[in-house]
Amino acid sequence: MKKLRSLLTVLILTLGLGMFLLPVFADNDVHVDDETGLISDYQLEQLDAYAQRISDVHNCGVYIRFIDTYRGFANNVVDASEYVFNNEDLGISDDGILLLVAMNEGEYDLCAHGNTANTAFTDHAKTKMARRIEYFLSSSDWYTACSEFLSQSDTMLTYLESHGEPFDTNNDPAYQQNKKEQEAASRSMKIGATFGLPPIAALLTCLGLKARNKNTGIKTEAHNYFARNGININRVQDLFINRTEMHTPLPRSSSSGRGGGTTVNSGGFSHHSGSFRH
Amino acid sequence: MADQVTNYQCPSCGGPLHWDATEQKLKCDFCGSTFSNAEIEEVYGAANAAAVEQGTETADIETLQWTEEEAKHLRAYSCPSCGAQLICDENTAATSCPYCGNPTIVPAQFHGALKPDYVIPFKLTKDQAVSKLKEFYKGKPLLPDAFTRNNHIQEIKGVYVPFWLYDARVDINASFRAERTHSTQRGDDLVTITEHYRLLRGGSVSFEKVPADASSKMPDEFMDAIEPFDYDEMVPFEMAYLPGYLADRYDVEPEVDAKRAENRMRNSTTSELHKTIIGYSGVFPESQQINIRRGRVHYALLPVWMLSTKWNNTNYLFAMNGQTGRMVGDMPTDNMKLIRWFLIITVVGIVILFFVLLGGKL
Ligand SMILES: [Zn+2]
Repeated sequence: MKKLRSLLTVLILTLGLGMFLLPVFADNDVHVDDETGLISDYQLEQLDAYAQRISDVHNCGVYIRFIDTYRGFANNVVDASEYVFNNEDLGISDDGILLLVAMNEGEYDLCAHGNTANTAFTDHAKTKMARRIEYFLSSSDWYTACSEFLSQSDTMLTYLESHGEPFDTNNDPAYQQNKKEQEAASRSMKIGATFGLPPIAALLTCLGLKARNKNTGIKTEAHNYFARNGININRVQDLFINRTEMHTPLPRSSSSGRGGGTTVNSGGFSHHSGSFRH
Repeated sequence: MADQVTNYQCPSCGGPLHWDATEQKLKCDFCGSTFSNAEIEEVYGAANAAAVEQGTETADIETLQWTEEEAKHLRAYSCPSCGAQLICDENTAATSCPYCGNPTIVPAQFHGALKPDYVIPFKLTKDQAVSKLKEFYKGKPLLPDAFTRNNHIQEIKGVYVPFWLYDARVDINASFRAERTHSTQRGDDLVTITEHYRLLRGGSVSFEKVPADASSKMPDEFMDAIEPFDYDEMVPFEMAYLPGYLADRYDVEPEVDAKRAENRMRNSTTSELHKTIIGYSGVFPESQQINIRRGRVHYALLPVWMLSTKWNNTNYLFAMNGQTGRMVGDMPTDNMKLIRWFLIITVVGIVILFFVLLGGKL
């Protein structure tokens, strides 16, 4: 009897602990959330169901968060999305992609984390997605921006599964076409240089050789003929008159890395961020 | 005055002395003895001192005249083609005109031209001049062949070119507006602070022996470009330096040449003044007064190797500083050679780029 009771206690304790521990490991199942009130409840439901479906199919979490501002918990939109990703425990086993939109700042960030997400959403893929999302965000079409993000995420994840490699510069026909055109342009530049530069160089050389035939000229100075101790500039006065100030605003600059593959930071995140209010 | 013979004679045999550029000494034509300038000046010191003082003490330059004795040994020639007036020693054969190459120059009346105060003797011999000229031509592939023919180059002539050398002091007073700016970042603004100044400058610059050639035949841009001459080797003029060379007679008055020399002094004075303006980002002149106090004017013969080349009915001059070897010219371009060079460089360039840029295929 004593044995049975202690066994039960252990069982209850284990279950209780399990119940307590389970939410820590469980993944967040709120896929689309909007604290700004810009998206209607009905639309939110639809988007969330869609996101849930994509996440389940690809075993990679897909999330959207519309927030008023990131002031108070982050310095910039990139830090903000990483904070949200960690704090809300997003991702299926930490694997997923988040679209964070900060309304007051007018900024968004595409933030991927985990093996599948970082593989599927290459820098090139994120850039391509961001172009369309940014277009709808800047025209205040929030719902379309969201469904665009979701369908594009689906596309990228599907691409990885069916091709065994992520969508990137090496298999984007548009990019390849563009690159080919650039190469063709650079080749015609080279042809132009091959036949255009030598005559110019020859002309300059000939003008140089021609110039060698004349080295005469009127002298306009007499530096060689100063008398010994002949230079006496004895009045040297610098009088201060006044001081003026001019203010000009400093230009702001931003930079972003680009290239094949995915640029993952030390926290395991990769981003594509931008501003949709210009 | 008449018995004051300033034409040096050999202290050994009494024969006439002449300047030998190779040995840089005065040489006797008869006994072959050589004498340095110092030695000769010691022998003739007293007579010489009198002559030099006369030339330097007075501001008026019209004082130093050829003596009758000297005039007797001088021959004057003129070129019927270009009008050049030349003088030379009685024993020097004046064959052709150094300015235009005309081979028939005719004797002319020798009349009271000024006797030079100073002379810088030739330091480069004809052989040295010829080889330097050949070297000079080598670096000029577009030069017509007429210039580089050896028998033509041998016609190079040593000419003493007349120069006025001006002493003067230039007084200057000037004021400038000047700015000094620096920038700092304050908040989101770039703040540019400008300090404004007024600069006052004044003083004087003295010049000695600023040269201007006194021959109307000689283009000014040649003699300006052939500078500088080393005045340390300048000596009081003596007839002995003349044999073997032609001397051009001055035909530009010192008043006329003074304008060129004074312009140069003015510019150099201004630039010396500007050297005292340091550390400003912008300097704008406000006012400037320049006053030139003229000093002495010296008359000197300076050594120049000259060669005139006729090509396409035009005379092209070459000149070499007979002391330092500095060479100047304003020579034409052979258009056929120009085209040949242009084509060669173009074709070679295309071939190289064809392989380097295009990898050898179109
Ligand atoms: Zn002539």
